[in-house]
Amino acid sequence: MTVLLKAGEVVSKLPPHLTYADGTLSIKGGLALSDPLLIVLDEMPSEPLSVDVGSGTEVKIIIEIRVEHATGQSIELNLIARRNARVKHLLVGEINGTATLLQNIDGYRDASLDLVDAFASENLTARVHVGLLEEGAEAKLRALAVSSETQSQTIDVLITHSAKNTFGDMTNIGIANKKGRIVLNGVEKIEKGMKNANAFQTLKGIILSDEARVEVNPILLIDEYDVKAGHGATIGKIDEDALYYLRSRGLTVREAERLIINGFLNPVINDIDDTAIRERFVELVNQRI
Amino acid sequence: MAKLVIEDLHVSIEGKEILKGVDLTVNSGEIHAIMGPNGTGKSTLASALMGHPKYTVTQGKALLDGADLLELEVDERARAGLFLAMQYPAEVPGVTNADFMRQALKATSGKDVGLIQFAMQYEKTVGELKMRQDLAHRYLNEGFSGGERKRNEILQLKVLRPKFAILDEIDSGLDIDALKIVGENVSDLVDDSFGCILITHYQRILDHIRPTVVHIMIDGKIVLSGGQELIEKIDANGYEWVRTELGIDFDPEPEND
Repeated sequence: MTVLLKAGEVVSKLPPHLTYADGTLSIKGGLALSDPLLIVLDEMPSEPLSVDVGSGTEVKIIIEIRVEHATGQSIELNLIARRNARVKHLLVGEINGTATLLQNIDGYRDASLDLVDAFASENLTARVHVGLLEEGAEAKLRALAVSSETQSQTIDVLITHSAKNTFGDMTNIGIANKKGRIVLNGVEKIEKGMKNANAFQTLKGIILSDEARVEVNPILLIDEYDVKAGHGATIGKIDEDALYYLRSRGLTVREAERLIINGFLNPVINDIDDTAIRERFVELVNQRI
Repeated sequence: MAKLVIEDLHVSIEGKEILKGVDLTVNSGEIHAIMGPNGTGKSTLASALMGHPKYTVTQGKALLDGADLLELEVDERARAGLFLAMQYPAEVPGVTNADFMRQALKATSGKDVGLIQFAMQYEKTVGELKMRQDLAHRYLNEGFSGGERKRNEILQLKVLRPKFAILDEIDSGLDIDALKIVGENVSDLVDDSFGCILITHYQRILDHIRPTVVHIMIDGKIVLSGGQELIEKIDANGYEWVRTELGIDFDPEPEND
């Protein structure tokens, strides 16, 4: 089911379990929705857009932002997962021009968040904040940025553990081609007293040309002893030997690079358990590399 | 009927000349063994023909059915019908053997092969090389033993069916049983549309693949060509006799090519 928004107003007909008022799209509680909710934004909204998922509801949400000429505006997107909500979410940001994107995600008691962000924008600063606000909230976030030509993207991801027994895992990947630039900042924060919180982060960068740049900064801020946490970061070029090997079997440079990058992303792709989101993600990546 | 012609090939690596004028003609239906001590340029010949970026051809020609290989990119050479079974095949994490091979088959044959037809053909070939049945779904060479990698090269050769294959020390890392399997599979491939250059130090593999011609390469040149009798002579006496009999002076160098 597709929801179209123009200038902050919903222009498509909403089914009975959805309501829209004051920039907030609310989904009723206690539902299991198999049909993904697709929200398409083709211009920069001046007001924040929020999606509020009611208690116990299971839903897939895909938000695609495709803007031709942004001139420094910012977009604010909020996602609220109420108690026991199970949300699978894909955010696609393809914005030409200069823009800032703020994404705030709140998880309440025992909410489960399976999040994928894919950014292929021209000059973007994205700040993603996941708040695990109540006990048992869990979030898995994979953020991917692809920069080509002279695109420059900075992706800040912060997961805050503000309750006990919370789980947060982020995998952030940057792929830069030609003169593209990417900065990935990943921060996972466990506040004092939040026992048995789990925080994991993996940051990876791939550079496809001599002039491309990727910077990764993995940070764990932990103010409690009784937790589990781990992080790692890598940056590298495409392995020349692998490229030569694939080419020696007839694949062009482009085909070989594509295969190697898909291979590199494979663990992330395989981990997206929703078929619709996974396929859209793979398609997006392959359009860009 | 296909023809691979190499004329007066000179190849350098980082300014140092390794091949100093190699002449070799291989017709389909033939197996040419190139033998020689370490560091004489055998692997350089293989890599230079495939177009490895590290090697610079400074002089000479290499023609595949009249097409100038040296003008072609690595992948164009493969599509022209050349295959190199590598001494050290690379690992490619996250890319399955099946995905890779299907794409390579499409690239070299120019035809899109149906998934099911491909899977059946691939599995049959896996069986012929006595490899693990889950090979299709494993990542390309990742975590493979030395012997598995070598068998995987021959498997790729069988799937892709090039006009000419160069097998660069395909015998290293293979145990006796694997050597037999690889040898038989390669022998079975040879027909009037396929020819092969086999690079080796040892005669062992030649028990299973009978070469049409044996060449001895020393110091960047083929110094002697002949039949099976050369293999026996090398097996019995090493390469010292070449020096004395032909009056060639050469310094053995560590193998690094």
